Amino acid sequence: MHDYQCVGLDVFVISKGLPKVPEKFEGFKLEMISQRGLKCWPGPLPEGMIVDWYTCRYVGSEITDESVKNLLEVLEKNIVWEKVQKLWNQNGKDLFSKSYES
Amino acid sequence: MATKIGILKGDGIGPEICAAVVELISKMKAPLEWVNIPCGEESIVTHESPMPQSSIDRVKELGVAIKGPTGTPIGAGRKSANVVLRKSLDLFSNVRPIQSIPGIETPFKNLDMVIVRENTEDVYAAIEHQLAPGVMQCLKIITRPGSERIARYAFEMARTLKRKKVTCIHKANIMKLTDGMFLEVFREVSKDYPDLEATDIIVDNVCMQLVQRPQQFDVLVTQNLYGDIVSDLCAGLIGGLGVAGGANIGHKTAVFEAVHGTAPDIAGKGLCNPTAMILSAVMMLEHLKMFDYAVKLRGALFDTIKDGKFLTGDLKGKATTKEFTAAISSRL
Repeated sequence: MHDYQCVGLDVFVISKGLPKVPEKFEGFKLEMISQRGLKCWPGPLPEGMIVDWYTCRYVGSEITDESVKNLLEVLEKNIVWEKVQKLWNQNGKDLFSKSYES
Repeated sequence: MATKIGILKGDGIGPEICAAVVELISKMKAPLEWVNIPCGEESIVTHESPMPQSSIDRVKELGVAIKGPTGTPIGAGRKSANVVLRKSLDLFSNVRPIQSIPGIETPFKNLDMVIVRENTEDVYAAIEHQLAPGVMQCLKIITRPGSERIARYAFEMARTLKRKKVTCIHKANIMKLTDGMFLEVFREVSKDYPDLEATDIIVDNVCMQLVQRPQQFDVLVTQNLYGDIVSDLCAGLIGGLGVAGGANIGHKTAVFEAVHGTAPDIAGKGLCNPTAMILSAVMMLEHLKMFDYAVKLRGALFDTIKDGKFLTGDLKGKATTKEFTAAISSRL
């Protein structure tokens, strides 16, 4: 499994409006926020219906369970995180979906 | 003053079927002005995206557009240009009329129903992850507001079209939370429409019923994935995807498109059948409240098919796209 690595996190959060989360924290960088698979940040909020459930995608290298816990501790100061999903990469291939964007 | 309409020609046979629509609308002298909007493979070259933000913005600005098919690669890579457009503009309702066309031989006669498919949620949110090697997940996202607006759209449409019954397709016996809520919301919304009969049916049962006794259905409303499958099944009942029009409707924007693919094997050969695109254009004219033009165009199309002298290969004829279009045009 040496070529199988965690390269990021999808943190699913409950938030009224775009969640206020840090763009950078230790080794993590906020790549985007999406809702129901559609990109909401960076850039303008999409047209139409919005619900109180967002996905914050953080990317980083050398992600450990400890660094994940540290990130969640920071996030939960402002928002309710509902679920965390690790993003895996194997042999250079991402094993997770991108969001919808143009 | 002419109404400006976006035209996204798309890939494969897209430019040919769009040309047929432009020719017929022009023949009728309908007050429309076409605004070319890039998408598909040409946009990948110029904008590095099959559905660039500038095209989405242009469609949004115009409010109404007609679109040819765009290709979607299977497997890793870009997401569907269609889904990007639908989600970006919140075109939450996919409307697919299923109406028998005289002259096309099918097992059932006089079919007349409409499928309303939720267009922005369900597994089409395409939130997928590998959980462990060889273990994948795709999240099925169903929301209460998303369920309510599609149910309401179906009932409103049924009432406007003077239809009698709305049927909700679901799998609530297995997916008790997602489909259970979808069904629950449908039943709640139905109470606002006492003049319409509201029924529901499990998705596997509806597939069986549709191929045995389709006449029992009127308006069908369902989620994204079931709608995708059931609407193609229903298109098969009236002669295939080549003769089924469709529309994607939001609160502010509407995009009318043929529901079939790009047919790369016959692209550029002048052999494609533009019927689905013409029927989508008929829906667009109705949406624009240009009912006289809509009736005229549908009538000329149906008469040409019934006449049978100038049919394309998929309808067992030998006519080219241009000959078929010319035959319709001559009736306008």
